Parts: sequence; C-alpha cells; structure tokens
Amino acid sequence: MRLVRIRRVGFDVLAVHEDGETQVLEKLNEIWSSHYRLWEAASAALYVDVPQQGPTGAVTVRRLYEPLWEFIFGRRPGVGFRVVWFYGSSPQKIVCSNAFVKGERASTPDEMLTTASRHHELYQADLARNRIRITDMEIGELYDTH
Amino acid sequence: MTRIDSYRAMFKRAKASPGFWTEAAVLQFVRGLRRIMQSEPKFSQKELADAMKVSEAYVSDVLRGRRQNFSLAQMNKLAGHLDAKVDVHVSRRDVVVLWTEKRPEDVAGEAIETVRDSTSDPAFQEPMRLAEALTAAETLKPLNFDKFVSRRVASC
Repeated sequence: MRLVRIRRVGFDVLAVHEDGETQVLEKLNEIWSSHYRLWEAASAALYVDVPQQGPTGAVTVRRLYEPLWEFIFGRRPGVGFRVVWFYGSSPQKIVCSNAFVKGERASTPDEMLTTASRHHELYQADLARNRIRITDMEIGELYDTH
Repeated sequence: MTRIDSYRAMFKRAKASPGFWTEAAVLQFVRGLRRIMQSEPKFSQKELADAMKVSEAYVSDVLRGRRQNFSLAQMNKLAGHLDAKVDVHVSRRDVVVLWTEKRPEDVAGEAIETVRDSTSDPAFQEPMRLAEALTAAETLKPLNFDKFVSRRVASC
C-alpha cells in the first residue's frame, strides 16, 4: 500500500495513494474552484490543525463504525466536504481513505465506506508484511517502512 | 508535473491564502473553547448559550467551526463567559507554535531561577543571599514554593 504524507507534526496525517492518485487530495483540489471557503477549511484542518493537535477537539469528527471515522467540513446551509479516515498503527497516525462532496441532505455514499473498509484491511495486511510505502509530500522521499 | 507535485502546489497555494490561516486560527479557538468547557467547572452548550443570551444553535455552530468571521472582541466575549481569555501570537508561517499555560507564581519562581543560573553576580551564588531572594519570591505566594525552595537549597 502506498500512502502520501500530508503533514507530520505531533500527528502523522496520511492519505491513501491508489491507481496513481490520492483521492482525498484530488477531491480537495476539485473544490478549490467551486467551494473556496470549504477548501480553505479542509486544507487548514488537514495541513495545520490535525497534524499539530490531533483529530479530535476542533474539527467535527463523527464515528461511522469501527474502525472508520469521518471529518466533517462545511457550514449550514450548503454543501459539505467529508473525509473518511481510520487510525493507523498508532493513535498518532491518521490515514485518510477517501473524500467526497456531500449535499445538504445527502447521506454518506455506501461505496465510500466500502472503499474505506477495503483500505483499512489492506493497510493492516501490508503493515504486517512491512509493505507500506510513504511518499512525504513536503520532501518527496519514499519510505519503505511505516 | 506529477500528481504529488500538484498536491504540494495546492498546499503551497493554501499557505499563501490569509483565509487558510484564518480557518486554522478558528480551529485553534474552537479547540480552546471546547477544552475550557470540558475542564472543571464544566460548561454545557446550553449553559454557555444562556449566559450569552444567544441560541444554543449559535453556540453549536461556533463549536463546530461553522462561524469564521469573529472579531477579537467577539472571541473574548465568548471566552469571557467561560472565565477564559484569548491570547494572540504572530509567527512565521513555516513554524509550529506550541502554547504553554502556567500560573503567574510559577513563572515568578522560574524567573528567579533563570537569573541565578545565568548571572555571574556572586550575590546570587551565595546561599544566604539566595535565601533572601527566595524570601522575596515567597511574597508572591507561589503555589509550588516549597518544591522550589527544596530544589534550590539542595543545589546550594
């Protein structure tokens, strides 16, 4: 499994990189032109607040079901931006699986949860086999171990 | 440009935006409010709303980071209802700021210790003069004074 490190300070915020792209960051990039304030809020959380202070305490977090969690960005009324994530090998590792733009009354798409569950299983399997590779977005280096 | 490069460019763009840092500051403010509300004495959203004479929905929106355009006065008004205050720090964008909270008396004790450790003035190196300084410090009634004295006396 390949992960992209968004930022590591006290906490390590990672995102799943699959099929040549990091879906969470692709989605984030997409909302730059359409929902600029949402983009600022989600970027600030993923790049500043969560790496420094952790996932709980400021950003709205919802427990989906074991082991999945969701970051909720957005103001009422309007669309929201959601990021499905799970804890990595320690509580300091936050692995973002996928993200989606959510309409005001829409529910979390099942396919997002299915994908996140698959990513979690893959993560656990590759963790055991020491096959997780990380690309640090800041310095671009590849790490073979997690 | 690779995908990773484009992601890096996106965050570089974000870091150049004042709104990005405003959002980060709002999250820091929300985190502080929540922390104060959860520490003793605890405050519920309803209690805070009642004290402020605003709706609970407003407080909920604040605590969910859904309100961005706070003035410093509004932030202090909110914090004031929790017997808290807002501190402001300005730093370079590429550094991480870690806040440390201390009681004034602890800071006073540490200041004397710093002076004693850094000065070449023999007065501060003599146990008797040090005792005088400690007595002066005692008038500040530091909470950890006993611990401070025992540590200093042990080192003399």
